[in-house]
Amino acid sequence: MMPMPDYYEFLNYPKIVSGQFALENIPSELDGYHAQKPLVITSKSIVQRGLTKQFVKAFYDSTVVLGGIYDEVRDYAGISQAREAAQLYKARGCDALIALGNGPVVDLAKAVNILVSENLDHLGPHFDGAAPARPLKPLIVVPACSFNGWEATHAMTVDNRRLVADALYPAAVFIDERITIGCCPECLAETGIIALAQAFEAMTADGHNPMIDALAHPALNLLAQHLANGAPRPSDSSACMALANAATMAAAAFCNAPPGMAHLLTEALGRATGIAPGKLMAIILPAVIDMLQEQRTPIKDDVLLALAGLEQFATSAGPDRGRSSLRIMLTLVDSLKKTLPALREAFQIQRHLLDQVAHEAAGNSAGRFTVPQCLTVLTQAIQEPAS
Amino acid sequence: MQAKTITGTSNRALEIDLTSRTFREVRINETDLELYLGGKGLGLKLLYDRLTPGVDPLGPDNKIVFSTGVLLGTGAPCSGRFEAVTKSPLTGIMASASCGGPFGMALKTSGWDALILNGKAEAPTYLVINSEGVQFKAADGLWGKDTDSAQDELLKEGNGALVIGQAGENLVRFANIRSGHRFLGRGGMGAVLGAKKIKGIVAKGGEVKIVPVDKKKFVKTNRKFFKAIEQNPMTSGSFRYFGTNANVNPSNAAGILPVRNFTGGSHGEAHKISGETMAERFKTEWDTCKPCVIKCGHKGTIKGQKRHIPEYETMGLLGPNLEIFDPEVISDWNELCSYYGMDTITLGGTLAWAMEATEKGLIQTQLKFGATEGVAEMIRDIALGNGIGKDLAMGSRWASKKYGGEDFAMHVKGLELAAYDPRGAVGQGLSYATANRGACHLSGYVLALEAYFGMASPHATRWKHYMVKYFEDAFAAMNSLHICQFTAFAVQLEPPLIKLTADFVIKLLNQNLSPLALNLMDLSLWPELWHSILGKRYIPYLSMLKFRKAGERVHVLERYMNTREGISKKDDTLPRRLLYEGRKCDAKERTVPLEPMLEKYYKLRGFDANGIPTKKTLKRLGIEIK
Repeated sequence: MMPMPDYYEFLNYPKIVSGQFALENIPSELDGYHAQKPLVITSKSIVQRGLTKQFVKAFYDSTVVLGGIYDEVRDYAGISQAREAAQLYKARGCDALIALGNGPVVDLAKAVNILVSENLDHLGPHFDGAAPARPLKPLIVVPACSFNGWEATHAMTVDNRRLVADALYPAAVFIDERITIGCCPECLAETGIIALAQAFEAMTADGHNPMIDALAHPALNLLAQHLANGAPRPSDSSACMALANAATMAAAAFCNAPPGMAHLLTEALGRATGIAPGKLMAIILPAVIDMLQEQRTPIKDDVLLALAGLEQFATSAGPDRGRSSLRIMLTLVDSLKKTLPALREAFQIQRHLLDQVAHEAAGNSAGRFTVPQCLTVLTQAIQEPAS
Repeated sequence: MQAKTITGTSNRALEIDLTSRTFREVRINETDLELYLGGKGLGLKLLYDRLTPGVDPLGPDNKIVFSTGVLLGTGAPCSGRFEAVTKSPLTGIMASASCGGPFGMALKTSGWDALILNGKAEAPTYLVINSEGVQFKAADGLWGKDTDSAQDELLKEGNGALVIGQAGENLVRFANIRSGHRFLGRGGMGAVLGAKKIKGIVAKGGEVKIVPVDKKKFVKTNRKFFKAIEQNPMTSGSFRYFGTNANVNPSNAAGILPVRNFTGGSHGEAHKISGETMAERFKTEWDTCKPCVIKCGHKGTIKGQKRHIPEYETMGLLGPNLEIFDPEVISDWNELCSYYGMDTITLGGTLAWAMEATEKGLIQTQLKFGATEGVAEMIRDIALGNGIGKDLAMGSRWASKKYGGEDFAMHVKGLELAAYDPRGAVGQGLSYATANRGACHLSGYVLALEAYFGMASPHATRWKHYMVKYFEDAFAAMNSLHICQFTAFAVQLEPPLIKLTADFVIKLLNQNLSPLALNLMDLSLWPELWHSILGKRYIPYLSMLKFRKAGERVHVLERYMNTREGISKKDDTLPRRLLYEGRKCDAKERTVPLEPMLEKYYKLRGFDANGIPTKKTLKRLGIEIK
């Protein structure tokens, strides 16, 4: 029986448009916002992969004029580039933004949106926690490979500073196989493992609610079906679409739940070492699952239902369901070992940094995890397996 | 009392455990001396044998080794230098620094070739070293004092001292160690001593006299050395008369002077801080390491006081890089850094980051490019750990991770760039990216060929991997002798074969067949000098090739130690600004094309594609795999 919480909140704003020819619907979507001249923000790698050409084709038959393409984003979203793009936006008289890409591209687009909507030169007040005071310009997100789901949410990370505000939700997210197609197995695996952790942690978090479950459940289900087979085959468009949808759902659920240990440790360790979150998650998630197994933490039955389907769920005895779901999670992570091998660098993380990371993660957990708990998981995660 | 005479080297190292307040004599393995030469190489080997990877640089398990070279104390020219190696609290990897202060001579003439510090003292302590060993003395009265007054106190007990200022005590990650008016500058060694609660170390000195084994050969080689130095226009001309700031005008002309946090490479007002201008304005005179024949260190009368003239790196990074062109103001800041004991290069890079971050709304400070207001106060705040100064005291990498602005934090592996912009000399870009301690200009000074001497094309990538490796090996060997790196200008460029070949021919050769051009350079004076001091005690003859191989061994050992701390290809990179942003001072906007040079460099070095030395390479060099 589904427990009903006494009180909960849930917000997920953007319209999701997913499937074949999704891109062709962008002009009419913009029309709905009375926008006619969007600035496209993207990265050099997207341009090099020819995805901007594909994207521009979708506008051939429309009256929408692209105000410009800003393609200077690389692996970091910073205020310098946000200012540059904002200048371009103003100079071209744009009235909307389209982020074509992943992480930093979308973060930068959100930052540009604040600058142009509030006519600011920097994000100072917002870095201090102030939410945007007025409605922002319409922002459309078209995710590409290595999509971590956060792009479709109300969070952005610019200059390593995270800002969370409802106004930052994009107006719409367009998932189209022509753009979402994977660039390499590693990127897809990173997308998948982050989504897996987000969906799992959202569904098992203390403060979860039926709306979170409603999104995390299908996300886990899609991942269970497509992660192992899809990640090594970036050209498999149906798997890419499934993973992108799963990532979108997982992040929408996750950003409404308190962050779990895997997420907190990955974030803190990433900041300390500069290693990509997907690569770190590949070693931290198994360690978190091991801890849950050791502590015999009760895992709700629905996780098994999402991961294994009705048949296995029905044939498992009630008390075994939690343990079975953890085993399946580990099998899923294991299936990525070839695509996402544990990094040598990850095993060489300096021991004295672990303390700092554990403190940071525990500090950000609002008292849900202790420093020793975090340290135990970290130590296990970076322990090199015997060769 | 007549000093005891040592022929060659004493081969004694003093190992001190600060926790238990004990010490022991360690015999230096003769094979190690042959393989690593001394100085930096031997220091690294002693550290390698003792350091566990992953330890906290500011914890008791970190070690710091002070190591002298075979040449020190013999009267060899420009040999008044010693080296320190440790794990850096700024970068988390190996740091090495060379210093021309009197401590090295005092340590060696106390009968010790090296000093190793382990553990952590319980309370502020200073150490007094003599030929018998060490005395541990309470530093209560010294703790909290600046480097000037602390050093004056310590020198009452010996001929040479090492001392930290308040910056080291407060664990500023780029605190340095002072000896005389010279510093072990980079990598935060002052914080390592501060964490060990060591305010200073004084060596009695004068207890031992060092004489070369083959005196005749030593005198003969010395003579050749002097001659080369006197013939070379850098060592006997520009550096001697204008100091290292003789580099300002050539750097400005070549577009490699850092301007406004490396957004520009030249500036119309740069001449105001040139060596030529300062020599005239401040009536400069020599203020050198000892012994030295180049005499690049200068002092002058500034604001009515005799002050050491800031070196080129300080001038560049606290000057144009902050858009300041008043040498008196830069000298004031340099004096403050000396007083508190802080590295001016990292400070300049961090202040420039803070100015740009302020401009972009990431932090709130009074700092502004082109304005002197608030800078001196910020230097104090950094040293004393006040306000945002406490965050800036961690360096630009740390600050940019906290506040953002990583794209304009100008560091490699956490160490801020020296005062050369590699967009005007791309080989230097590769050298910054691969240098073991971070963005170090002294690892392989390729820019001299590219930007100053016209011997290599500054924007071509061809053969730059070879040049970088060649100079890295040569400089690692020189730092192991240990001799001043500026002697390279004389030793390498004065032999007739290279001197009589026109620069454009060398440039052409360097561009098309660099190994041939570089091998025209005769390095033999260095190994000859080393060998004349040790005689045939170790090896019958130290050839130029063996000398270069020793340098290679030192460089690769340091790299291997870094890879054990997690360093790999991902870290061999440059700040985004240098990789992606062009400059207005260039007719055609240029960036550093790092990737293709890096791949070739790894192959040449015998590293795998991820930048890790292969087992085969380590075996070839005789480095024990741990």
